[in-house]
Amino acid sequence: MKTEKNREKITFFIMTGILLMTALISLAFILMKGSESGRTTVIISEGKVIGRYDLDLMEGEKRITVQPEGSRGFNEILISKEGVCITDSDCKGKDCIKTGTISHFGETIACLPNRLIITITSDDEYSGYDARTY
Amino acid sequence: MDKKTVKTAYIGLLSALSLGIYALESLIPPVLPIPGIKPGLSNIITLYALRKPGKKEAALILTVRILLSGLLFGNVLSVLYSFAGGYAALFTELICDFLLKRKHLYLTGAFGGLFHNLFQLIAAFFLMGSAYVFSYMPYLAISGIITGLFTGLAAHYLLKVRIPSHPL
Ligand SMILES: [Zn+2]
Repeated sequence: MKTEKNREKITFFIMTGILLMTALISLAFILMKGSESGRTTVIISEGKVIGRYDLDLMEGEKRITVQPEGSRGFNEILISKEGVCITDSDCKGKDCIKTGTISHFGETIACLPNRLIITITSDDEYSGYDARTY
Repeated sequence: MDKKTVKTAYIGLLSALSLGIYALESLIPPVLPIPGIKPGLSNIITLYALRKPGKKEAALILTVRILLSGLLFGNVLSVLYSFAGGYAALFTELICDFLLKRKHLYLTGAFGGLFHNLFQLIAAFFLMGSAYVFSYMPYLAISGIITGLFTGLAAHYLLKVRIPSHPL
């Protein structure tokens, strides 16, 4: 009976430990990203990087329309010092527009139907990154 | 009434509840500008069903919820994401509940939330063809654990409620 109880306790502590470790490691990643400077927004359409802009160097506003060849989906993106947002899209649900403006590291706008991702990273991160990973 | 009819009706009721919770949740605007961060409240029903009718019924309820919510509010893509996340959570919770000998349901919920988000990201990786999606794994890991703890606790207290003439 006693070993049974002990085994239960061990399982409990191992599982709690796994969760705590996962949470701490994740938190460390988030905090490390936050301390860097040079916010770069990367626009990825259908798995390819189609644009990269340094937000802190932006002057005024820049509008980009993304419409991949042979695709009916389009998204309109607005970039400025304040951040990036999608202003128009033909997707259903319009979750990408509802996301609003992103301006911090790690923040991401995704338009799943149109296979578009916009994310904010640091300059050096992913610089040698090959867009097609599969 | 025979037992089978009662059981069918009960599964239907839980499926409807799960769908209703899912629909209400989708009305809540996103708190953080990161896609995929959601309270995941319909997991309360999954956890509850895992204990009350059983694992087969829980899988059935989950499948009904995903297909109906896809039909009503989503598309093929959102169904794929829901399947990846929903089944990952269900299997994780099944294993955790067994390992923990049906105790500490909040831990089971937390693991379910974590693996739900992990597998949705993996699905996103394949669908978007971009490893960038993994850059928000840290956010999704933490949110999955927190919301999972909450839904696990909610299911724990829900299971404690004595329902008069409960069919099962
Ligand atoms: Zn969209």
